[in-house]
Order: sequence, then structure tokens, then C-alpha cells
Amino acid sequence: MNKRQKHFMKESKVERLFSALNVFLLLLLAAATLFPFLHVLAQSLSSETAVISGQVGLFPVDPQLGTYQYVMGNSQFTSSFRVSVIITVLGTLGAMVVTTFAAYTLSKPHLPGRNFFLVLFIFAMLFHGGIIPNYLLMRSLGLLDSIWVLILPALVNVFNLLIIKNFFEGTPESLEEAARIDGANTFSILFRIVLPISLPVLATISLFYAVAYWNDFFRAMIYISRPDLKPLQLYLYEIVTQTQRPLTDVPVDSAMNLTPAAVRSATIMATTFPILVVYPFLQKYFVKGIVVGSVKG
Amino acid sequence: MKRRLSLRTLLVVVLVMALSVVVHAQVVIRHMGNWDAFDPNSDIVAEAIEKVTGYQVEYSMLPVENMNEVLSLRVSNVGAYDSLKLNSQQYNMLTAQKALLPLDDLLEKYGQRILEVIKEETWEAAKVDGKIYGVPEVPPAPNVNHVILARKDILDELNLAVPETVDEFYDVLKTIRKEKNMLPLAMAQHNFALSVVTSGFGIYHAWMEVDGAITHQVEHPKMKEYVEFMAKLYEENLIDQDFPVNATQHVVEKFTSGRAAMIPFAWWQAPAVLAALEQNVPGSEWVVIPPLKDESGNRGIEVDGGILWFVGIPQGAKNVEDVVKWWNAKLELDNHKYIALGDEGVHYYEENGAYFPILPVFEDERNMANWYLTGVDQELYPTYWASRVRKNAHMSKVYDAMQELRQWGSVNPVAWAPALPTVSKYTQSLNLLTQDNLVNFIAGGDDVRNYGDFVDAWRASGGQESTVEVNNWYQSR
Repeated sequence: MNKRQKHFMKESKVERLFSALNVFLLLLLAAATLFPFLHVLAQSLSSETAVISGQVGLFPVDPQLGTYQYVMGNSQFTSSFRVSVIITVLGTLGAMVVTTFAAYTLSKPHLPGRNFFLVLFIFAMLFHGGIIPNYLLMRSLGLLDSIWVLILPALVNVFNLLIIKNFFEGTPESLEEAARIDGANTFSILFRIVLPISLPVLATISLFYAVAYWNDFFRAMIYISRPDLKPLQLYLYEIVTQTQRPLTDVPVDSAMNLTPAAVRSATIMATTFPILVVYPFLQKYFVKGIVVGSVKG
Repeated sequence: MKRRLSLRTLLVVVLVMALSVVVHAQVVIRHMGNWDAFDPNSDIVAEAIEKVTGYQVEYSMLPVENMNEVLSLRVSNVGAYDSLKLNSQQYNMLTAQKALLPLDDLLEKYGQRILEVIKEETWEAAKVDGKIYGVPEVPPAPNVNHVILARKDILDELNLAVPETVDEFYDVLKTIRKEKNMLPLAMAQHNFALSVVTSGFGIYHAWMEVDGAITHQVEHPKMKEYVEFMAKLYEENLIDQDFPVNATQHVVEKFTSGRAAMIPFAWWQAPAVLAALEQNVPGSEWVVIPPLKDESGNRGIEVDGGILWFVGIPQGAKNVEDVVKWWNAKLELDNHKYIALGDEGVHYYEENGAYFPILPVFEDERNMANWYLTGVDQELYPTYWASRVRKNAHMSKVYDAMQELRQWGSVNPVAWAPALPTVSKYTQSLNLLTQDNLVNFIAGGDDVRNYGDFVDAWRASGGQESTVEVNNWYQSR
């Protein structure tokens, strides 16, 4: 009894303890994700000797910038960078247009056949044909070895579509009715009323799409054989994977050309940095958007 | 009249020439090779090849992983590629799928130079059911690639000679541990069958001839003894205690920081590893540990042999004749040398019949030349190739030291085998199974007395089928 009372009395203290613990754990988590990043950054700025002898921790040893010079000068890096920027920009724009249109249509309960199409979308979200049927499809569409194969198949992510749809359903119907009475048609309602008040969710989903496009390597690995169409992440993936094969599996000539460890780290940094820069600008929408979308759904 | 006629003839000739140039310019050969970290279309070697052959080529690559699956998919896209550079596993796979064109007639008509520079025995090994489906490329030299490298300064300090037998090897490790208290031998998990040490048990490579039949090293009568020996080393702390989880980078780290006295080593690691060792441990020296002698004084070490690459034409390709002409042109004496080495005095110089690279031009403009090869001159190419090893002083020195071991060189008998679909199918999974089990035995996770159970599991997982297939071929040679 006494104990409980004490406990009750000291609740504010317990609470403080709890938040202190919370902060501590979250800091630990932040450190756990930050340290590997700093480690790779330090490696990319250190000499090859320091990297392979394991002398590099969180700070560069024998600092140098030659690795970055090498990465930027690599023909494959520059062409891949261009490809990644193109697919990310075109892909995100295209995906936002298509997804928003679909979401807006599906958010109108009075449209006939709405449920049928919704089920179709969800079905496609849960089940897909697998790699080989998809490959055959892309082949028949003539999309192999073209930049569109990296953009078109990912235009609609059903999960994102549902988030936007739910957000639209949460916007007050009366706004649209008022606009309609003023003579606005469906398109002007969408562009002049609905979209402006949906900016948080649009920013969030744009970021989702942009990151997905930027980070995708798998599609390129399957559909792209022309080196000038390889996106950056595929190039990075290959650079990192090549050194993980056991030495006995690598032909002599390739083994002589293995990418040095410090250059590998520099490549990782150079591929991650551009998309990292986008985050801070969109972050305020990012958190809000998710919350709004999910709460109203 | 006469004059007009000649004028007209001239006109016709010019037209035909112009037309042929146009037609010729329209042919674009689409060549696909295996992965490497560069863009083959923008590399200067591509330009050099176009210059000397006159053919325009569009290059593409397989991915770095799942290359065989992706190759299957891409070849199913009929007409997308004209020329393929395949490793032997891929060649076996595509010939089994009947996805490659037989080349015999084409080579006879347009590939005389190719037929000339490749040896008869190589052609024989490339045949599938008596027909040639790919132009074979042998390894650039009978290289010894994998040894153990030891710190000579430490051996000298402890008055230890380079070990020649299994017992001597054990004593050396033991003394290093006792006197220097450092890690005697660092190793990674994929080093479970160290060929320098297995040689001491009469095993030189994955497949061995035992009493006229081919046996995999797993089933070799002496393999269990090797595993017992390694388990003893592990138990006595003479090899890396982290061995079950180590990757190459961890091993290199231990050696270059001076914490380990020996590592499993391939000569191409030399530029980075030996430079780091030199810097971190001034005054350090190295020595190659030769394959150990077995009880009867025999020893052996694997050297490269067999066929490394094939170039073939997929069924349904369009510019079939041009592809063979292109391959052929690349092997003409001057072209072959120019593609592989560049210009004398610019990219390389010659000294006593050997070629040396001029750096950094060679590195910038011919470093990737090997990727573009579609067949090599078996007599001349090895001399061209040697220049690549001489790009780096460390590499050149270790390479030369290791090649002295060629006197004990032994070629894996299966290297010369033609398509062995069953072996191809199971090689990877069996390797993994073997690695898991051997690591477990050596690190004491399982008692070596249970080695027989592992062999049974290995047999049941495709090992038995593979052995039968290898022996069917071997007996019918």
C-alpha cells in the first residue's frame, strides 16, 4: 500500500525517468544508424592502406580526396548518375499524375464500378506474376533496354494510391459542392480545390516515389543490359557485390581490376548523397502527411 | 566510246563501293559479355577495335549476380544479340538449351585466322556432340593463383625454414604462436580447403584422379585426415579463431596490420596488400609457402587450365557472317597486338622479347582490353598478357615467385571436360554444403568422426550424380 502510494506520488519523477530512458534508447538507435554511415564516410576519405588494414573508425586516416575524383571521373558513374536523375524526375512526376488521378476517381463513392476497380488495384498489389512473366511482358511491349522500363512499371504503387485516396475521402465534400455550384468542372475542382489542400500527402508520396525510383536497382538488373542505361544504384550494387564473391570464383583479369575499398566507400557516399539532400526539404510534410493520411483513413 | 565505257565503269565501281560502305556501315554487331566495372561502349578499346576491324559494335553486359538466369532470359529474346562471350558454365547451359548456332561452316568460310591461332586440342574440348558452338579461349597462362603468403622476417627472426611438410608446417605455426604470440595463420570461411595444405594429403584440386577414376576431394580417402589436421590447428589456436565468420577483408586486415604471420593469398591482391604491409610494418618481407609434401614426398598445386571463355552466336542472330568476320579480324596479327597492348612506345615497350606497360597510359587505355577479347592467339597472347602483371612492382614480384611453383602444377581434370550439365547444376550448392560442414568440423562445432555422415549428405545432394557424370566423360575420352 505504502509502496503504491509512493509510486503514485512520484509519478512525475517516474515519468521523467521514462523520458530519459526513452531519449537514451532513441539516441542509441540514432547512433546505431549513424555510425555505419560515418564509418563509410571516413573510409571514403582515407587512404587505401588505412582502410584495408582496418585503421579507420569514425574519422579519416591519411585524408585524401582522390577516391572522389576517381568516382566522379568514372564514365560509368557519370552516365549512371544521369540515368538515375532522369528516371527519378520523370518517374516521380509521372507517378504523381497517374496516382493522383486514380486516387481522386476512386475516392468518389458515387461512381459506378468503383469497388470493382478498387478490388482490381488491391489484387494487383497483393499478387503478381513473378519475374519471368514480367520479363516476357516487357519484352513483348518492346521495353527491354529502354529507359521507360525503369519508369512505366512503377508508375502506380497501390499502397501510395490508397493513402492518397483516403486523404481525398477525408476532404470536406461541401468544398467541392460549392465549387461545382460556382460552375467548376471536375478538373478544375481537382486542380484548384482538392490538390492545394492535399499538399502534405502529395509531398509525402512524392518523396516515397522519388526514393523508390532512386533506390531501385532490381528492375534495371533484369531488364537493362546496355551499360549506358544502368542507374546509379545498380552500378553501386555491382561494385559492392563484386568484392563479396570468393576470390576463387573470379576470373584472373577481373580479379586484377577489383575496385579498391576506399573507392567503393566513396561510390556509396556519392550515390547516397543526392537523395539525402532531398529529405530535409520535405521532412516537415513527411511526418504530417503520414499522420493525416492514416488518421483520416 | 572507249572512254565513255571506262567512265561508266568507273561510275559503277564508285557506286558499288559507296553502296558497300553504306551497307557495311549499317551492320552493328551487338555483343554481350560478363560483368565488369566499366562502360564498354565508352572505353577507348572499343574505339581501337572499331578502327582496326571497321565494324561498329554495341556492347552490353550481364549483371554481376544471377548472371546465368539473366542470360537465359535475354537469349530467349531472339535476335537481340549477335555475339556472346560466355564462361564455361554458361556455354554448357546454352548448348544444353540448343540456344547457340553451330559454327563449323562459318569458321571454315570466314574464320580462317581463328582456326589457325587456336590449337587443335582446344577445339576438341570445345565441341559438343562433335560440333563447335563457341570459339574457345584458354586462360592466359598456366597460372598458379592461390598460395599461402608468410612473413619472411618473422620466420627468419625465429630461425624457421619455409615449411615443406605437414609436420614442419605445424611446427612453424606452433613456434610463431609460442614465441611471438601472434596469429600464425589468418583465414576466411571460404578457405576451408587450403590447397597448400591439402597438397600434404595428396589433394591438389576439387576433382582428383584416384585409381583411374575421378573422385571429388570431399570423397578423397585422405580428406578426413586433412580436416582432422585443420581441426587440431584450430583447437590449438594456431589458425584464426574467427575463421568461421571471416571474409577476405578481415583476413587482409589482420595481415596488413601485422597481427597475422600468414594468409591465403592470390597474386592479384599484391598491389593493395603488400603496399599496406610495407607501410604499416616497415622492414617486413614475404615468402611464398609452396604446396606441402605428402608422406611419399609428392606435392602438387592447381594451375589454370581448360577453357575459360567461349564466344558464340545465339540462334536467330541476324548478322551471323559479319560476327565471324569481326572475330576473325580481331585476331589478325597486328590487330590482336594492337587491341591487347596498344602502340609500341606509347602503351608498351619491348625488352628481351617481353612486353612492359608504359604507365599510366597503358592503365588508362588498355586496362580493360581483356574484356573485349573474342578468342586469343594461343602462342602469342600469353606474352601480351604478361604485361598486365607488370603494371605493379609488388604484383610482378609475387607473381613471379608463385609461378616458380608451376613445376608442381597440376590441372583439375574436369577443367578440360566438355559440357557437364549435372556438375554445373550442383557445383554451387555442393560448395556451400561443403563449406558449411568443413567450417563446422574445423571449428569444433561437429566431431570429425562424423565426417562420413557429411559425405553421405554430399552424395545425396547431387555429389553422387556429379561423380557419375564426370566419370562417364572421363572413361569415354
